Amino acid sequence: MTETGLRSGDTDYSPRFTAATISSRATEGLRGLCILFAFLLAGEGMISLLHLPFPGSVIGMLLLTVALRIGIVRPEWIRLTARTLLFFLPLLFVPLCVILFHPPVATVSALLRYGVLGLLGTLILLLGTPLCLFLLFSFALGRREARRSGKPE
Amino acid sequence: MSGVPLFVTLTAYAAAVGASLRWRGLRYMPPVLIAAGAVAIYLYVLKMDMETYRKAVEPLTFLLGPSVVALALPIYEQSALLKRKVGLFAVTAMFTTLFGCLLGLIWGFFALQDQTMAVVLSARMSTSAVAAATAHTLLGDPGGQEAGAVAGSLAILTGIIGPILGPTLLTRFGVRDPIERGAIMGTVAGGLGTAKALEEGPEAGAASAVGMCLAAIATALLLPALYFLVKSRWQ
Repeated sequence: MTETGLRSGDTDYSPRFTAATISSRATEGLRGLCILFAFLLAGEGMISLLHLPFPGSVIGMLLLTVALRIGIVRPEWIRLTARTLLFFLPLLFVPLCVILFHPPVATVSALLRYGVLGLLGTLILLLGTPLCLFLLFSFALGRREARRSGKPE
Repeated sequence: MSGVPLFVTLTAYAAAVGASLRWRGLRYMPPVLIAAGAVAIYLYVLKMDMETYRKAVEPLTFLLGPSVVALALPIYEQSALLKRKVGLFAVTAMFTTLFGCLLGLIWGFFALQDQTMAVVLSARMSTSAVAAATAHTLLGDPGGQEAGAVAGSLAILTGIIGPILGPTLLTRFGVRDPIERGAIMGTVAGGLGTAKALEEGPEAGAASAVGMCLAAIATALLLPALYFLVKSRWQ
């Protein structure tokens, strides 16, 4: 334990917790959030103007990638916010996944309309397609990798 | 007490992450699913309906938009690596879309004999928001909105398989390149796959974001064409 009360492994983080660094990090985070929201709004504006069948966030992501590449936005402006948000990305999916355990009435009635056989087939299709794709891709790529690593021997 | 569902969601996720770090047996179950299951039990016990829950956790779902925009950063930072594998991205996105959409359309039209189900089952191959929008556009307005909601929730169900089985299968077949792993996770499993790929590292995360994006674009562009093609055979 050091005099700051942190364990020895944490000491290199201690300078971050002064009032000045906290406020500068907070400003940095807010600036990043503003930029991300600006691009989200730009994306949403574009889809409502052009009637594209895409979510605004995906268009916003493409616009931000372009802006980063041509240098309108500097990566360090958004780094703190983007890293923090992406670290918590799985958490943001929890409310969406709850729908699986509480499916909307429309989903259940749409699936139940086809009886047991149709329902089973549909479920197999829903879960089997990604499984088949994973098997196919990993088999093909794995074989290629094995061939490549086998060649020099 | 409108903050309680949000508190329960956060606590459930924190506990799920802690549990999966502690018990190796849980490593095949993504913490997202464990947390979602726990929240579902909570909703069931309190008899809370989905609409109330959705309103209460809006702060979380609201952050999903800027988080997807934030994926631009790993894509930018890894662009040199990603550029070398352009062919891989093109092939996975095209193949996933063709295979998934065709299977869905064929099952929907020829086995279930239902146009709405055909659209719903093929649109779910892309990420949930695009699936909902594509289904809505293809079916037009009476019933399109509802079909879109169904397609969105089925897209999540399809994406569930990615974080559960994807990494294990890829490792078993010897796919170790992070770009290749990420590209497949993103194209096949959308947002949930991307969230899992980000845990593996920034390269896999960036590749996954690009893959998800390409699969979404390919679905939005190819599905209408495939839909009219299969529909003309059906009639």
